[in-house]
Amino acid sequence: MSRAAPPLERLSTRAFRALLALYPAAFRDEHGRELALVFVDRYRDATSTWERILLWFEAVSGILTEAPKEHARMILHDIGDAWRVLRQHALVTATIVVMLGLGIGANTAVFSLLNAIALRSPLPIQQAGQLYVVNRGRYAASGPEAARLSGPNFDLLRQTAPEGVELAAVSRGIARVYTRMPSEQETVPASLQLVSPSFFPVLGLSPALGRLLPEAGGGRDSDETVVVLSYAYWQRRFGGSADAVGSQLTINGASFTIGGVGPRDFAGVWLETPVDIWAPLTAQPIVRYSQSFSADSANLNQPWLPQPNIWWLHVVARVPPGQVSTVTSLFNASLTRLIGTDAGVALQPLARGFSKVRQQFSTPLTVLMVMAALVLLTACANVANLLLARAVSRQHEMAVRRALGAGRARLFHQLLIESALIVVMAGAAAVVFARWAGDALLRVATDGAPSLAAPLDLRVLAFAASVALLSVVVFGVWPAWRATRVDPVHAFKGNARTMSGHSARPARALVVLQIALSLMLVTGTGLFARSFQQLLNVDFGFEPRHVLLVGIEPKLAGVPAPDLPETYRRVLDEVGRIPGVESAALSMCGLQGSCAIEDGYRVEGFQPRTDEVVAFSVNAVTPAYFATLGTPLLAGRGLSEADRAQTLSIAVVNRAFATRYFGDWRQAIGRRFGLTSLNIEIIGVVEDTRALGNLKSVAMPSVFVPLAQRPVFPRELDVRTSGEPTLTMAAVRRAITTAAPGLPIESMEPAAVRVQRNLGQDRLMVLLTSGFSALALGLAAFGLFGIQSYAIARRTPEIGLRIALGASQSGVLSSIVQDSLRLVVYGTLIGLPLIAIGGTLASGLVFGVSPYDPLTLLAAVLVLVVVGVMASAGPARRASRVDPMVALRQE
Amino acid sequence: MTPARSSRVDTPDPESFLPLHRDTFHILVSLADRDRHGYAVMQDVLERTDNQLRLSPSSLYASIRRLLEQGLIEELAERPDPSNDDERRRYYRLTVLGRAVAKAEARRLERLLGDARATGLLPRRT
Repeated sequence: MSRAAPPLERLSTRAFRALLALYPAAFRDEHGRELALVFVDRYRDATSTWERILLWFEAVSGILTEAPKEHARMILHDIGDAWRVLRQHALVTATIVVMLGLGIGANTAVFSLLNAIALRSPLPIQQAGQLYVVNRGRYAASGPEAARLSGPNFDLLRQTAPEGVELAAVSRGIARVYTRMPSEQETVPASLQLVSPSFFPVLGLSPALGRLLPEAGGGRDSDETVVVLSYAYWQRRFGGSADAVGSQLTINGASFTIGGVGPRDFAGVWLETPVDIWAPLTAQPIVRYSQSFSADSANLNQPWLPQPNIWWLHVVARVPPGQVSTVTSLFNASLTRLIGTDAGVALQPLARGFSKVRQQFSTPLTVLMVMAALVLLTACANVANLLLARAVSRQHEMAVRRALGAGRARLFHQLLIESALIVVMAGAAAVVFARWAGDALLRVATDGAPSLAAPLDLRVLAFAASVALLSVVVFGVWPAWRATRVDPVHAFKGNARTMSGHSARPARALVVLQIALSLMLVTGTGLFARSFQQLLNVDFGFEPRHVLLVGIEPKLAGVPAPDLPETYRRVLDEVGRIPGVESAALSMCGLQGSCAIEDGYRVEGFQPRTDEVVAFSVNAVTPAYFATLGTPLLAGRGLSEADRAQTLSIAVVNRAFATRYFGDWRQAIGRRFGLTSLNIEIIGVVEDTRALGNLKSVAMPSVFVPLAQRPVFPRELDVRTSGEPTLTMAAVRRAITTAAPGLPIESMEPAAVRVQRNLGQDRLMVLLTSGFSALALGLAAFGLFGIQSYAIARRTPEIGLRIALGASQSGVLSSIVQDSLRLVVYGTLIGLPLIAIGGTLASGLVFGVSPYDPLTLLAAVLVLVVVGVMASAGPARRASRVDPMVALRQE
Repeated sequence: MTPARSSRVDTPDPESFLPLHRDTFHILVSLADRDRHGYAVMQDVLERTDNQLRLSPSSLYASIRRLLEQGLIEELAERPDPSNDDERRRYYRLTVLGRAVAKAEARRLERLLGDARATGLLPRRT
């Protein structure tokens, strides 16, 4: 007996029905109406308002607890179903997991590298985002690492800085020093950086022990004999003993007091070079710091800090948010007043620290990231293709389920869960792969730099997860949408189990896309490989085989300055006596590290433009230097023992110098140059040499003066051997110790090893891009093979008919290969403009080859044609062997 | 498919469901003497337990869903409930398996009760 419900009951019922929306649709469809009826029953049975409120409370809390459980159950159920389906198609599933795993893994590995090198904020500094490096405009493009200011510049900026902006200065370089505790006999090497007392306060760091650098009377002065140890060094050298504070430490022969220990985890702002000891800037002459500077008419033997023309400091500023542009213009104004021309100041973020590796690898890693993404896209295209094919074969199943009442949303949901399950498996495989590959890559890339690691931190995992998620969207949604777009009536008509002509089109489009992507990758690999080969064959301007490079530190040998020339002669004599040594030479700088660029010179007959600075690298060498390195003499004579301090000042210049200042290198002999007067005569011209640190860059204009005429400390000993240089290493070490006891030997290795190491970045690029290309090619071939096999299976009756009507086997064969080649052509046409875009990105990374090198491109297209033919050969042969009778019967 | 496997799939061992959840057992007991719809089950349980056990509709239907899936109860065609109004209700009935499971649980509880008596926890039956 029906009766009209009172309005409040109707409202309540409606509200309850709305609440039921919290349940999964399937549960709601099944039990929703009953639940609502029970609610109404109880509502009517309730006798008081209080009971009704209680009823509501119970209903809401019941739904809130039960609905999530039902959802979880549904999902688990779906996952179970999906797992069953995936296991039924174990081979396809495994293929997909491996393809995606490699694709996601490659991306994650490269990203973990990018994260370790370029993205991570590695400095344990509070509000690191407020820290900036004050850079001059002319160096700004090279990054904050390139910034350089002098002591007086720093003072000026400190005076200019508004309230709330704090400044600190640090030496640009980290010096290798020799330390000794009072109880020790031998010295122990350590790394040292000079900092202003404000360094730790500006960075917001407090000591783990003792105190940090004390400030004496403010400004940049401080007690110049107090040093701070890094936490790691304190642990290493002093075993973490509290007694270290207050004790004495001899650094490069001078005595210092240990004032305190820096905070745990902080090892300075250079990521790859941890600092062991921080000393005050004022200690520069005491520790004989002379690194990473540029200078102009300065006296390097006097303390550097007061000199305006030695630029050796990084100035770090903590600027409160929102004040950056104000501070920039203030600094610009004051520096401009000092220098006279517009200084163009830039404040560059320090938050991520200084990194040579980052400078070197940011662009290559970006290129690799793009390539890895292309590989993943290729993999996704394949997976989408496999799923599309499976979707077609599952149309019947879908139709049955639709006919049994499952909604399209439900089926779509189910298919997406299958994809998600695949991605979870692939993602797990990828993380394992990336963990392994990331570390391996980092070792190749940084030559095992100790303080860099590629950890799988949250950011990397989040990246892997989002890439995986994105892949589901790319490869899963479309096939799922197509699979569920099934009309039961149509599907039951039988022919739905094979791919119809219409539904083959998306698969072909995906293969064309794969070919385009592969073409890009193969072209890229070709370019890097050719570039690498060019590098291997490049004329270094010296002969690295049979050359041994020895780094020495005579500054610290304790030899009185007047005795130095004699010491050098003894070292060269002693080394020269070793059997198998052909020649040996000392040089101030050279192959190991680039020489200081000196400016302010005048060159005879050369009129610089008004804004032009005459600057070149100056090296001081002993006479056998060119013969030892194997650098050819182009004109004039080399240096000789007869060139002494008392004789005419002479120099040998390189080809770049001669060409730059005299137009033609043949004109150089007899010309003069100098700082104040034209007092140095050019007596010879040698071939340009490339620096070991950067083999790709062209040679800098350089001059070589006799060590006898320029009393500097040589830091490199070059030895030419007749045989394998490694075999003489022990003898060379002994000879040096005999000739100059106490002369520290910093490094010793064959030049060829050095060359190899400096090709690390290029080797990495070739290695990785080859891997990526091989992967992409394999995937594209697999995709092509797949659709051709499929097409042939579908066309068997047609092919049978054609053979029955007299078509030849070769005709069938070639028609199928032709079809594959058509796809390759389409892919190439799409790929070419993409390559043009990619070329601009790669242009800075290739050496001696144009990024648009037509030969490389042609080779890449050929590779794809071959792959296309090979991938379709199998299916084509199968097609040509179709038995017409069998085929027609199948129809 | 081997016969052993099919027999296992077709008739699961009632013992394998034990022990039953309290609510589940009450629902099965409530359906033992006659077919009922959901609300009737709730009311019956409430009555038999002297208003001690009030099943909430949401947990009741979660249980019903599970029992249906396990094959312990089955749905009958919808029909009106004469005692309430003429709204059509979905009725449930014990399956053969459901009855066997309920019996097995009852026996289990009986044994437990016997044990309690034997140890003097409860007075011995006279």
